[in-house]
Amino acid sequence: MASTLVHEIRNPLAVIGGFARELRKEGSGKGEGAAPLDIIVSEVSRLENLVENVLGFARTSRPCLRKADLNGLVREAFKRRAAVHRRADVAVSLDLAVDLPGLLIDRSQLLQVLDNLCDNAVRAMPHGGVITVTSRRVGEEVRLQVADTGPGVPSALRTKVFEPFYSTSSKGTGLGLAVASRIMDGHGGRILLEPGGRRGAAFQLFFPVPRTVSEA
Amino acid sequence: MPKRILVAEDEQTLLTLYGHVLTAEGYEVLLAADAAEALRKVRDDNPDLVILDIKMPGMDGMEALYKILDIRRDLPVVINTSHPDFEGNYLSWAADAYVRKSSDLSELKETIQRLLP
Repeated sequence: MASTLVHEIRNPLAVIGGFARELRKEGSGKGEGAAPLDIIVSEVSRLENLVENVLGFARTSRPCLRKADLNGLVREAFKRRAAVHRRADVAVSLDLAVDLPGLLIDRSQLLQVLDNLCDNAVRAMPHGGVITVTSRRVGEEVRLQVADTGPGVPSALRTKVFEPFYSTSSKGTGLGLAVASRIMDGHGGRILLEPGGRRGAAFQLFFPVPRTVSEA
Repeated sequence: MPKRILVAEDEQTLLTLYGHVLTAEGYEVLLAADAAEALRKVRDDNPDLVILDIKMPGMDGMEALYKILDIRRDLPVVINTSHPDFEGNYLSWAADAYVRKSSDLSELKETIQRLLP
């Protein structure tokens, strides 16, 4: 039912936002007309994110875990997001370990987690910046870190960011990290905000190495 | 000679949007409001690529994909749907790409450029 509702909402949103983008591209919104078109495009994007995250949060289905190459999924996610990052003047640096074991991952859920983390990073860097993604094996886990060069998360708010509907941004839905946390739970893993005083925010995803792989 | 793209989509407003955007990108655009019409146009109009919605009345896009590939094994097909449930399956359906419907058509445009160099 939730996915049917999403379908019914997303299609008209795509039409409204799609035509607004075309009008803006064609110069219909020059001068004073530009701001309303920008607002339509921005608000439609916000609604699309909200719909996506409400669906992700409402879903209680267990992940469909299949053996997957984490680095390959990361490359795929950033290839899909290339246009978004280019427009936001955000550079991406991938530092992916070559010796990672195969992990049990629900592909579409992981792409959702990476989308949510990157959307937050882009919002945190309105004048551009760098997203650095690092994968490493750490004992019986694999750690995937997504770090940005934005202002970071104030220490007083660090425990709140994974709560549903909590957002530090007027553009955020407050569900992205809650969805990411729920998805990581479903993978038998976890998501953490890296402690420490580094500049920017760094979120770490930990995936368990499957037993058959860790014993090999 | 512009490349010819067939869009199969049951929502008329989306068809209008895709027709407008892809024509502006320099493609010749064929529109089909359901899977049966799409199959007819694959047979008769020789498209270079198909953009295929999944949830359509009558024959759905999944069934249509196999029929399209029966007619033209080499024809690139891009699944384009709002339903997230299908994403994990598209590779097994032999489609060339999966692009989630969005107001931002840049991913769809880049996918088309990649498949129709």
